[in-house]
Amino acid sequence: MDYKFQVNLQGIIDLLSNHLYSGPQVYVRELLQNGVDAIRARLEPEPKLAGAIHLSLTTAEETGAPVLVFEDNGIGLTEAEIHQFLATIGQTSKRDELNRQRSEFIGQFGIGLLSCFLVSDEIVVHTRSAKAADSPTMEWQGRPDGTYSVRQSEEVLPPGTRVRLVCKPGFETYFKPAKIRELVNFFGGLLPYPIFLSQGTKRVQLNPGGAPWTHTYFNDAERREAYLAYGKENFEIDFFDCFELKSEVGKVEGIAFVLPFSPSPSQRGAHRVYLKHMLLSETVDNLLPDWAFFVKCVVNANELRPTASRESFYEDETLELTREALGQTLRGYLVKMARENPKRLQKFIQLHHLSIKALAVYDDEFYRLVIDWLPFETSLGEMTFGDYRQRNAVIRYTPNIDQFRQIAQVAAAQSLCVINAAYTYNMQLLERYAEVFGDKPVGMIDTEMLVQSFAELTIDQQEQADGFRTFAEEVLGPFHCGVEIKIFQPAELPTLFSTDQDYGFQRSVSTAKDVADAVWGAVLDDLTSDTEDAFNAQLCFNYGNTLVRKICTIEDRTVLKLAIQMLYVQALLLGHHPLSSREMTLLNSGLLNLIEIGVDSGKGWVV
Amino acid sequence: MTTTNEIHDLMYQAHQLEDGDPAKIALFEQAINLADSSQNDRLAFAARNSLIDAATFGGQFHKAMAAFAWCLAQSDKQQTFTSLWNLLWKYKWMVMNAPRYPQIEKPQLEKMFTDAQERFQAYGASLRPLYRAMADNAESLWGEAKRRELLELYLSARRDSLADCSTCELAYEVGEAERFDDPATVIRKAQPILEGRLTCRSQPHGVLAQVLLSLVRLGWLTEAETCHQRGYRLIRTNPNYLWEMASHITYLTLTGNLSRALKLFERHLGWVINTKERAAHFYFLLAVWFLLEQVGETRKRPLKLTLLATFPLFREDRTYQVADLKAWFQKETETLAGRFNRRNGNDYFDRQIREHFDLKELAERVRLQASQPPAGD
Ligand SMILES: Nc1ncnc2c1ncn2[C@@H]1O[C@H](COP(=O)(O)OP(=O)(O)O)[C@@H](O)[C@H]1O
Ligand SMILES: [Mg+2]
Repeated sequence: MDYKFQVNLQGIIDLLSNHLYSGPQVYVRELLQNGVDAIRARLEPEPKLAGAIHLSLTTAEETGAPVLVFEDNGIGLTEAEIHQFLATIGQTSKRDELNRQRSEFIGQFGIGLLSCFLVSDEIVVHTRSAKAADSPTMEWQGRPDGTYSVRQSEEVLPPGTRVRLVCKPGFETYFKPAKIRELVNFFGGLLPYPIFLSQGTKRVQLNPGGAPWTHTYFNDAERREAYLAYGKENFEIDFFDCFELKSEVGKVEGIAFVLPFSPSPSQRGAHRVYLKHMLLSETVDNLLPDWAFFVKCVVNANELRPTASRESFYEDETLELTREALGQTLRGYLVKMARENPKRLQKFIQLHHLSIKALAVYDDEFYRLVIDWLPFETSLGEMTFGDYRQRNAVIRYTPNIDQFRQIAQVAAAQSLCVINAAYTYNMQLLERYAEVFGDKPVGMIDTEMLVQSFAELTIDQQEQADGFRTFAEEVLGPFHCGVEIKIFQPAELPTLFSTDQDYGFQRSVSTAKDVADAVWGAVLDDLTSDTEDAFNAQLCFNYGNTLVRKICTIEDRTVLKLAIQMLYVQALLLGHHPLSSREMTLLNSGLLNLIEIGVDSGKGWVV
Repeated sequence: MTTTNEIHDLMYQAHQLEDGDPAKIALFEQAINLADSSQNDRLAFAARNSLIDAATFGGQFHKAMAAFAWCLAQSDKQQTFTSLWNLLWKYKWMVMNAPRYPQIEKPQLEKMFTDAQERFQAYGASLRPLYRAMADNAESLWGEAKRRELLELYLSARRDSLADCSTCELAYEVGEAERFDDPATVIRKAQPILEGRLTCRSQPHGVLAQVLLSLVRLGWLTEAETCHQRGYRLIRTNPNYLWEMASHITYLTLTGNLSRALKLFERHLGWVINTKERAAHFYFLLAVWFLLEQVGETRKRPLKLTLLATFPLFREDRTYQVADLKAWFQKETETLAGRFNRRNGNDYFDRQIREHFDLKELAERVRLQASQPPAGD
């Protein structure tokens, strides 16, 4: 003999409240959803119906407990439907014959009503079906022990449904008028049907009447003002600007608010998203393209699939296409601003240049529009790319911060202006210049190339400096530093220290090796074994500098060694390179020695 | 601004940036330099700790190794700048990634693996994630039997707080299936990640590349194209996804979309030129070699390409003979394979080349499929 599973309703309620629902407050969401679904169902046969939802709050005479009545003028239920849908857990009237969710409804699982048991020990439903004019008004009583009763009601109501909840002891917070107001607005603030709350003779409308982008406005200025006011009210932020968002795919509509500050990563992409006009989540982060962190959005989506927790969307193809479409809208906004309102664009760039750069890297047309407005750090201070390319025949950039610092010391004297491309997207943007415009060459410059271009010594000078060169190579060799002697501007600069791409890494490895254990010491040895003998740095002495010329004539090897070492250490410090323990010793003992020499000679500094 | 503030500020700026942004790594390096110069060990540790993360997930793993060695040594000196858990968590990355540099010799790697295991054991942690990390390179280092042995150890060891997230573990499974099962199994296993039910820091980025070949084998070209589009968008700014980029190029090559394959090659060549070599370089070079071979079959005229100025064959006029490019990529691939083989003492990387060129057959099949009208249903 076959038996049927017996379901312990209380067990299921506990399960839901602990795992699916985020708290008792969701009963408001579920009642709103059911009311809205019922109104939508009735709109099919009666398109002229003015759907509305009424809440009323009273106190129970016998117990003094708050009572909430939740009423809609939707499709209602017949007695048969009560048994089939309302009273059967997991049954729903919102799927088609193939068990697919019907897209006009929000409910789909048939478990929403149970959430009322989180706050009430009894659910009483009065309902009258709108399908036939003579349908009777039915009364259904459900209890958390799983029993229910149905009978014809004495009271005759207009078509629709009325749900009555009596507050469970301990859950009074969820029946306070202010709380109900807050929850209705939070979950259903965008619903297109009016929601009223009455207490005694007082009656107020809780939702302002649908999403702001569904209202009609006198003109664009009025629309913008209304949107900004809405943004202010909801997020307490005075937004920089706002514009409408729309995507056919996913049926998404809403407003993007441009932030008046650059958001930190944790604040990025927290958008408020409604699904079929009911709140889904305030932290949806996968709706917009990754470069779009300059906006905070409020949108309604009708055809995206929420995850079971209802707190974000499935990363599927529809979402992907929606994201693409919304990206196009955002881009359109920026393009329009660049064309029509360069002043505003400039202000915008000050706030959000990272977003702009991220987009320009992948979008040639956008690149053309905005590149001239973008700010770059150059060896002559910050300037826009437009100013830079006006003043320079060749676009030159340095790939990293060390190179930039090194070159910046001499750039002006070499009548050279270089862009620091170490920061995010800069190098990619500059490299694309030739591809997009093609009117000027673009090139990377590093200190080594620059040193190559410096003037050579004359044959006489070379002869004079030869001994110095050999000795300097000997002194600096152990530090993996090569030696060069040239003549360059500015003459006040005694040396130019240059490093290659790998320099920072090599130094960080030796710092680590100083402390590492045997296992890791050996790993690091191997790691750098292919570059072991290379010079990663070079100290170029400026023979045009008087001090350097004097040093070249020093005969005393001890003093000469000291001078070379000190110039080397100074170059490291100027380049912001932390000294290794060996270099630190050099500095300390070097200083003392120099003082000693100075004191001994009795007439001040030798060099 | 005081130095301490300046260091904090640099680190703050760095944290704002995305994984794979070279500026993120550069900012942490500046912070480290400042902290070292001012002998502030606490901040030097914090900045290196962040650098390990940024470099590991940003495609410059060698920098993570140097920073990690320093942090480990500091922690051994019983400085309490961080939890031991934090270092062990990162040790997994070392075990998984260090073998991908051919210059690190096998004995050094093996000693490091032993050290990691001893530290995990002393901490009372399960060796599960270490077995997994070692299994990742086991076939090339020690051969197929060792790989299987490590996988069994991995599966039977318990999960604890140092275990990789369940999304990553599933992604590993997809990788295994990719190598040893039929394509349908691969797709079935990957489903939760493809649908977005499971995500993490590096998924679905990886799996979207991993399933491409299986989808092509099944003839599901529409799905494959979707995965390619989605996946490429996720990885295009992060050189850490070099292996994935190679898979995307191979996918485009197989499906005859050679112009887009060349576009990707052009755009991302910088990920392998002037960067520290690792195993993923090999796969990228190999994918480009294979691509150029396919291009050369039909095209005799030179190609117009915008390549990096630092690329050894760079030409101002942007005009390249396919055969020249192909020869260069072939040589580079073979040289790198040779270095790995020498280190490993086997011919694993030569076999990888042969297997890759076996894909020609698949390319042929796709061509036939495309030229025939789809069967009506
Ligand atoms: N206000 C209402 N008006 C009409 N029918 C309702 C109402 N509330 C609930 N129902 C019926 O009860 C069923 C179960 O509701 P519920 O448990 O919220 O699940 P769901 O909304 O997911 O279908 C609904 O499918 C619907 O048929
Ligand atoms: Mg419902």
